[in-house]
Amino acid sequence: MSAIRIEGVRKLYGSLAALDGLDLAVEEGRVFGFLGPNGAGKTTTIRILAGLARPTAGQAWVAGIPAGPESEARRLLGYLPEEPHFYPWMTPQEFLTDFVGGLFRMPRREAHARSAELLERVGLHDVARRRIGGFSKGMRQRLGLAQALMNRPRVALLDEPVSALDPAGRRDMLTLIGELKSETTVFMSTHILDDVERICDSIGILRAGRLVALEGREALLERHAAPALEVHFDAPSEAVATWAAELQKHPFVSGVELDGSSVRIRSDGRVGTVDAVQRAVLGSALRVLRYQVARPSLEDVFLRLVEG
Amino acid sequence: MITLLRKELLEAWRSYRFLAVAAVLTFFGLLGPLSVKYMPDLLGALPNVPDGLADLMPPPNASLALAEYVENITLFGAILALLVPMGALAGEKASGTAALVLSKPVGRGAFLFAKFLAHSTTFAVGVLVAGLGAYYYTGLLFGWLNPARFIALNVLLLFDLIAYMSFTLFGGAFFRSQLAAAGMGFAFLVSLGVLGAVPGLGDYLPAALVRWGLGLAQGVVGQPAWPALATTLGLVLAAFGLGWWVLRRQEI
Repeated sequence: MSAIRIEGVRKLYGSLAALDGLDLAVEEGRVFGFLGPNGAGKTTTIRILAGLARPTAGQAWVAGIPAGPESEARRLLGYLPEEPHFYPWMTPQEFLTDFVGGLFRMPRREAHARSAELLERVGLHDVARRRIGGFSKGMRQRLGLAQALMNRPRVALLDEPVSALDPAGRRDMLTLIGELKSETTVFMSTHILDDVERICDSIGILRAGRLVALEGREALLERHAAPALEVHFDAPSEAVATWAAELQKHPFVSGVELDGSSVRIRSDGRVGTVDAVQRAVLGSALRVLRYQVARPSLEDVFLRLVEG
Repeated sequence: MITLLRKELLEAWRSYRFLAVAAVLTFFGLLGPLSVKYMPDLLGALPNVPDGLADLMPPPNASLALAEYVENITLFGAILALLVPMGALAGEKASGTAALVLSKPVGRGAFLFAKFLAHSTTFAVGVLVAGLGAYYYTGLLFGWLNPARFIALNVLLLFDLIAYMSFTLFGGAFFRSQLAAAGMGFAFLVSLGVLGAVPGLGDYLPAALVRWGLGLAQGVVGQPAWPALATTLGLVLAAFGLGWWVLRRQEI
């Protein structure tokens, strides 16, 4: 059984379609990365699964139970909004043990043990008795993750779970999220492609409310990633920029990223593209220090699918 | 439900809502008997008071003290009934805490009802403390009142305040803005004032509860305002039902 199933979901806000016939299934035990540009419908999808919004058409299921505002599916899921807000007068320990534990009708002793364990895991153990009102955005996000895991959910819906964290915090949280797949299915939306590449084993890419890719990470990279070429010139950056601007006009080039005297060229994947770029490089009259066909990144795939 | 109610009561305590409501109602409640007793003396002591003004004032007594107490509690209680609950629901929706809570296995009716119970408790505590203070000072200054009748007055005053509070609280189901929620409570208050001016209709509105209670406490034999009590309870139920209906259909 799929941990998450979405069939034909449409969501209209007035005349604007936030989701336009979304079909999606996520198997249990996966860390699923849900990607898409701003406004693609990621948060709307998560809110529908969490029972906070209703689809205009179609249906979503969590662990086989229809999602909705009064749905029993809420017992089985954990939800972390993009910017979690808490009662500022509560402490993390009170919030998790008394409040969240109470809402899930957990025995007090169990709730206490679970909250202590989670506060330790998210690195808030030392501030367990401090008022949440004084917490930074990053601390609130950590607490948000802890509350989403309090009921040992079958499905954890995480909306941009590390967006407010510093690099070290991000690393720790991503490690933790990656470890969760032994206990829950993670459905995570993010803009940070490196994070997805690091911990997600399957990926869905959303564009304008429609799913344009849904595959395992490696399969996705293999299938969709056209080769990217990196060229490092020994030439003034202005000259390189002029050449790159000319190259951008070629039909086989889908994108050019410039970094000083280095250029990363995304091709459209057609046969002969690499040769064409090579000819363009040789014809540039600029001295080449290095030329290599780079391993395609998720970013290459993402940009190709989203912009293509 | 118990968890939600416990959270609401704890919030009322930690945010000093209990204290604020009790302090305001007690201050203005005490002002009733004290002002009736000492106003003639104060006027007499003030310079440039026109001759005979103090003589125009009726002699202070327990009935006047009660009337002043009731006037103060209804006026300042109504203001509190607009200000105190205006952020309870609208504020949680705007800040995002409602989304966090309602993604858990919580009924939206329970979420609303817990807030209603906690706010009713806040006003009950406020009226209780104010009532105890007013009873003591009225007794001390003018003679002791019948305690059962004075309790009845305060219960009826509480029903009146809960009706106003309900409409502000449930206004939060319609709006994300706290001001809009307070505006709904205010519109309700004004509507009742306008309807009360229609001959024959006043006996069926919450304000008749206050007149009934005052008459009881003053020992005046009058007609019980059961229809007004029924209307008040009906309005509270209607506000709750409407709020629940709106919240159930709403995206948080």
